[in-house]
Amino acid sequence: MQYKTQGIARSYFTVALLLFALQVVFGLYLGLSYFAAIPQNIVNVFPFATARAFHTNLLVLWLLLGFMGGAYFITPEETKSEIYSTKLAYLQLILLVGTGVTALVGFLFGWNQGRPLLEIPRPLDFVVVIGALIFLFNIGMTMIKARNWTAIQGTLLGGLVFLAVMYLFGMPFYKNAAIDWYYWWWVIHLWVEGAWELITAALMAFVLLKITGVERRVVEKWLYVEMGLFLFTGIAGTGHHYYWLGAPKYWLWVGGIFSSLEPVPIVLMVYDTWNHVKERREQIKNPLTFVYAVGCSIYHLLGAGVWGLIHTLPQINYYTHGSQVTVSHGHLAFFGAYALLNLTLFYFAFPQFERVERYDEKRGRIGFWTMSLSMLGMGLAFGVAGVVQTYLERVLGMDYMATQSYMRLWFQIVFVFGLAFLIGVIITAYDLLKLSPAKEAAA
Amino acid sequence: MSNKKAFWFFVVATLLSAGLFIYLTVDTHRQVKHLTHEDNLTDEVIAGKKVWEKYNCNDCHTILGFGGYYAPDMTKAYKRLGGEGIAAIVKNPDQIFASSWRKMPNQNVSDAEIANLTSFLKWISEINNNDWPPQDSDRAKAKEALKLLSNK
Ligand code: HEM
Ligand code: HEM
Ligand SMILES: [Fe+2]
Repeated sequence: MQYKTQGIARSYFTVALLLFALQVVFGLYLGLSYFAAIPQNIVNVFPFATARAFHTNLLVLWLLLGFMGGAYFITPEETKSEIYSTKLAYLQLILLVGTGVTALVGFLFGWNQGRPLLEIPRPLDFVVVIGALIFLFNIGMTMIKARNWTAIQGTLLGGLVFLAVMYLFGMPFYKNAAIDWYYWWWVIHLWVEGAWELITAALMAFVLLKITGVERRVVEKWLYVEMGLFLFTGIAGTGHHYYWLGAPKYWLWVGGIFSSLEPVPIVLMVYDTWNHVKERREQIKNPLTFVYAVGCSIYHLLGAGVWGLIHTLPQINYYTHGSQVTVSHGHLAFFGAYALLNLTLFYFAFPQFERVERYDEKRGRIGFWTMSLSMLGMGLAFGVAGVVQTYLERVLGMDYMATQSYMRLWFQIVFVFGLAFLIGVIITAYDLLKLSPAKEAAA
Repeated sequence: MSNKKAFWFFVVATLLSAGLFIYLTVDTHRQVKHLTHEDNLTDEVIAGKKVWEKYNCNDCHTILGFGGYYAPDMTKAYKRLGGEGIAAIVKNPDQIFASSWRKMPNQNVSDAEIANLTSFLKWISEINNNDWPPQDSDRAKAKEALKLLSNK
């Protein structure tokens, strides 16, 4: 840590880790509800819907706090200056976490906008916007005052502004449900397949630059090419969500073609990460950071690239749309691309907060492999359930609940992997918060 | 490739895709009026959409294929169940699903709200959405019936 204000990130990361664990606890409850008979009187007061709103909102909140912490961590080093205002940074954290907690408590009492993933009630949306404006102002002022522009900073700021602007499209009440979903995807799709990819590219480029010592010029060139491809395929690729909502037929073509190309920049990202790591000039201090960086790029390709591609063509999506195939992809993609990205950054940053140059990696490795493998198992089990559902319900036309009974076994398997995943999360969070220095210097 | 060329590649690629996307968005707004029969978008339908949102139905049920996957899709529910069928389920889920291993909460939805909700689901079921979902598709069912007849 070269700048004092980089320490702001520590609070963001710590809160993010705790919310991550909480998110997964609710995930387990959802998994349980899928195969066990939850009694009517429990369902009446705490429906599946509420638990799902908890699970997904906690996910988005912790990932966003991670990105924001990440921005506070890399901006000082990139601009070679301290963050504009430490006070604003903490104020913003309190505001956002306060909003999150209020929203969750509100959900319990039915205070809910009633739109999946955007359940936060509208009045609270405005508080979120204020928090986001404070954040953008703080990061923007730091960069403007420093006048030390780099491609990484530009990408990061561009991605963050893009993210904030898209949130606005999710706020109005749309009378026409088709138009409602049309813009819902401007938030969800243009986040995960647009803005967040830019933020990821910037944060990953920074970490790679630091841990490998590869020339900045090379890293930045890749950054431009990847961003161009991400946005070229990702923006028009939004059409892969417009096949069945009452939009014109040309979306079948536009969505199908552009979104099929979406894996290309991800492949490129795996390739250049691998190359940078191979051609590194720095000595490896903590190999686990490399495991995370390379693991994240490969898992990103698997969960988003491959698992996205398999159901993106309209001919296939007609049968898989809104089935457990979607759930399988949602989990592998969110974990592979964004949970692992955040954890990569945490493993890069925490040793610096603690001033531990080399830490004992044993626990951290167990955490990484437990999470990664159990999520893979979970994703595959959801996937098999999805294939069963697609065939029985969508192709043969079997009744919904009759189909679910054939999927029950796979949900039990999901639950077992989910338990293992929670253990992995606890090990990882504990390890990060209590890093222990490596015992001997011998490498 | 130089960094400058890479930068311009980024700018042009992004603008091309965004330009196409915005052009098609404008056109979609034009066509969606007919595809979703906006003429039938009455006050009851809009009130029904608000009821759908108030009780967070969408975090268990998909509609147009979006939302939670815990319960059946609602896109063509009106065609499957009719207004009365929907009303009966929303009013007494505990009785209707008494023997099911998956329960639906009884949220004490009022009769007036249920009436609006069914108007909303009726309107939804008439959207011209390329005949999705397959399990509720009349075309697919007609084809099945023909096959049965010809094989018999
Ligand atoms: C890191 C990037 C990605 C993340 C985090 C992600 C996540 C998700 C999630 C959560 C959904 C379900 C949304 C819902 O209906 O509630 C979804 C849907 C979908 N994603 Fe992705 N995705 C990513 C990238 C991709 C890519 C690159 C492709 C295609 C090549 C893709 C193809 C799809 C398709 C076709 C659907 C619609 C599924 C359906 O019809 O039900 N995704 N994605
Ligand atoms: C113990 C671990 C977990 C279990 C058992 C679990 C289970 C579930 C279940 C049952 C659903 C509801 C699907 C539905 O709508 O019917 C869900 C939704 C979701 N979960 Fe998890 N989850 C776990 C961890 C995670 C993690 C770690 C992530 C992300 C990194 C995640 C991301 C999501 C997303 C994005 C959705 C919405 C999916 C969609 O709309 O397609 N979950 N989860
Ligand atoms: Fe998408």
